[in-house]
Amino acid sequence: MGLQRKQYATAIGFLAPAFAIFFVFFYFPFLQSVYYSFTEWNGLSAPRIIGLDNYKRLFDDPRMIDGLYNTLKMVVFGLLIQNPLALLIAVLLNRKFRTRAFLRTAFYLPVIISLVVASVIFGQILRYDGFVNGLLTAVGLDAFAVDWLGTVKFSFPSIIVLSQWQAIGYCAMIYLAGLQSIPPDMFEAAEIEGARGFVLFRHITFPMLMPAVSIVLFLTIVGALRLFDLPYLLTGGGPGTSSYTLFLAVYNSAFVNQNFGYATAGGIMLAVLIILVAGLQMAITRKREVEL
Amino acid sequence: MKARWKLLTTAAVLALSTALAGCGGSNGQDAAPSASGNGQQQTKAQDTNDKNFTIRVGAWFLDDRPHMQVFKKAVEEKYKTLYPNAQIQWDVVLGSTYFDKLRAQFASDSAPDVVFYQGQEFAKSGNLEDLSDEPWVSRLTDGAKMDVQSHYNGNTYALPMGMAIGGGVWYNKKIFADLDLQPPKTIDDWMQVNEKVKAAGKVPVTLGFKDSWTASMFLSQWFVSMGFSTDPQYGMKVYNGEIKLADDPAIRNVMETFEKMKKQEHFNKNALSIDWPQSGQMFASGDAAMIMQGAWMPGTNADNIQKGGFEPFDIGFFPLMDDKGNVSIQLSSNEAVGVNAKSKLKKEAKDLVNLITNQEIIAPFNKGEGSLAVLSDVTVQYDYPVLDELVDLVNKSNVIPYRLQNFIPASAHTSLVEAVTKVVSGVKFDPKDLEAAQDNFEKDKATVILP
Repeated sequence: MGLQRKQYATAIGFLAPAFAIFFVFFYFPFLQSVYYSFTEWNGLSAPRIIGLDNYKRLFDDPRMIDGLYNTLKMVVFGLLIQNPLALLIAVLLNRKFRTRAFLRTAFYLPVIISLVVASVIFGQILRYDGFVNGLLTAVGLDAFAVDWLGTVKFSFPSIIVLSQWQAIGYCAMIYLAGLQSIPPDMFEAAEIEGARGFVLFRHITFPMLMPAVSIVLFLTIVGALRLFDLPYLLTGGGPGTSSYTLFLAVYNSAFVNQNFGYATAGGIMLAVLIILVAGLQMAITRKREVEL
Repeated sequence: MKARWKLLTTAAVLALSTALAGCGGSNGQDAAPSASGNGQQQTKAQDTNDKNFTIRVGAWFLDDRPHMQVFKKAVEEKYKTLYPNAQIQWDVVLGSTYFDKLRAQFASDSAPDVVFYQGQEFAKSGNLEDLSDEPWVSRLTDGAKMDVQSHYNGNTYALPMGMAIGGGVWYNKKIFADLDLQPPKTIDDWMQVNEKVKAAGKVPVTLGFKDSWTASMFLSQWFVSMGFSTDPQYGMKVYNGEIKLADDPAIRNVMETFEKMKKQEHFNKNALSIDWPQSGQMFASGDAAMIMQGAWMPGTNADNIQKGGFEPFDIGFFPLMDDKGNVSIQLSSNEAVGVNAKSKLKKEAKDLVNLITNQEIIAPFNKGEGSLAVLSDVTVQYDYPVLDELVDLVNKSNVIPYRLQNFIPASAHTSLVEAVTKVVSGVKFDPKDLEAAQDNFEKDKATVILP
């Protein structure tokens, strides 16, 4: 046995256990789910093959369509509001001032709190007789008091705002780590050349921060596309279908409507969407990354 | 070489005999649940009642309410007299997650031996043992024999735990007396009652629609009176396509009545952001005059009053009605208990179901749940006078064993519930919202299991 063949055998020996685990718990179920996506199946009776019907149905199901719109709103909000805000906070937290350590902790603290616990608390705060409306009433703005999670107009915007409570701090910490990894001599050299303020940020800080931007954008987009827990816990997708997300629509198809074949088709389409969007984003941002 | 072969053979024989002795050694000890999940090891005393085994019972409702604890204890004690060395393992997952788990367990042959369940699909898919020959079947009342979820294709697959009304409106008798109000007979009457309650500074009807099942219950019980009371074939006509969900006057009427009640502020303003227990608290505190709930309400309300330290009051009941005062009451089992068709302890599981039919076990359960007895020789003494009034009302009313949900797929019903929550949130009812229900009905019609 030549050296190369021995190396192959050793490599296979090391890879086999991991492959077996992946095959049993990931690849095989995935292949099975592809099969189920072409069937009508309630999880109990034998599946009945119905061709592409489940995939066609995805495009005229109000829950999926509303879920898609809401998911896209979340993506756009994440890109245009959450991301710049996190960057701004990171830049501010990177400066030297007395309460810096406290503020860094305060911004990161929401990340370590269970979303279920946070949802229960926010649910109480936002209900009609909750804290927010109490505050509005106290300052004479009771005309603006609404059931924030119980109206079609405000249910999903409320969820978007709540999601930022955790997301902004998390993204800000990634940006902060990126800012601290930029060598100080880069700034010193730029300052000697006369760069100040926004010019310094645009031509030095931001290009050097691109790896962090790539990661944050990836997390923001993927996080938005797979948003499930907040609408599931706070509104169940309602009122009507106003706060559905794609992920919740898939979940409810399976576990509320017992339509597991259709839900599987939705899950596969969602996975494809996430891969495409995330791949596109990575391709764009990776090109702009600067290597030292 | 020969000596070595002999040594190896001897060692192998010793190892085998040790292993066999080890198997035999489990006799007389409590058996641990097997990997298959059917949870028991057969002992040499296979056909005697003194064998050791653990029998698994799956349920979603056995919580810490007193009558549930009494039920569990009574079953355990009675089963001990039948099988002194048996253990009952209660596999309880509270709420609807139980059914997701149960599906997965049936799919992987690891479901409990005795299964509490709802719906017909478990019987249809062959997961449940046919119990038609069990001794208690002949004791079932006529109403219980018609129960949809415990029967399929003329066979009995489960013991219905009690016949309960699908739901109705419970009202605070003190508030009604103070305001000189009578239980309404028509929708117009109800609107007038609501206006008077509202004028007195109380919430007329409290909703806890954050729990979507409460919206589902309200909706489906209104369809029972709006749809079935004048046409017993209403469900079949929907199923056959003679009545379309998208343009059915009965469904539109329900939606428009919800809209009217919302507009006239007959519901609590936090209807969509509080859950069922919170709406129950609102009713118990006297802040709301009415609540739409199931037969468990008298017991739950008494419990809420005690825990919340509220002023006690008697409650009354009236069913949901149509414009002309027509009423139908849906009576069916809330819980059914069957036997896993693949259980290795079928006889023991059947015995467990059989012992539940004892007066001292099932009657306190019915009393706590506010349900009617399903066995002709069982009598239930209720703690709350309103339940006796309810029994009288059921006996005098047009009773049906099913509801619209039995004739349409779950996806279509979900669309109807979504349309209601939208209306209750304050959005004007748009008949186009019913098209989603019709669309889902047509696409998933094949999944319907007709009663």
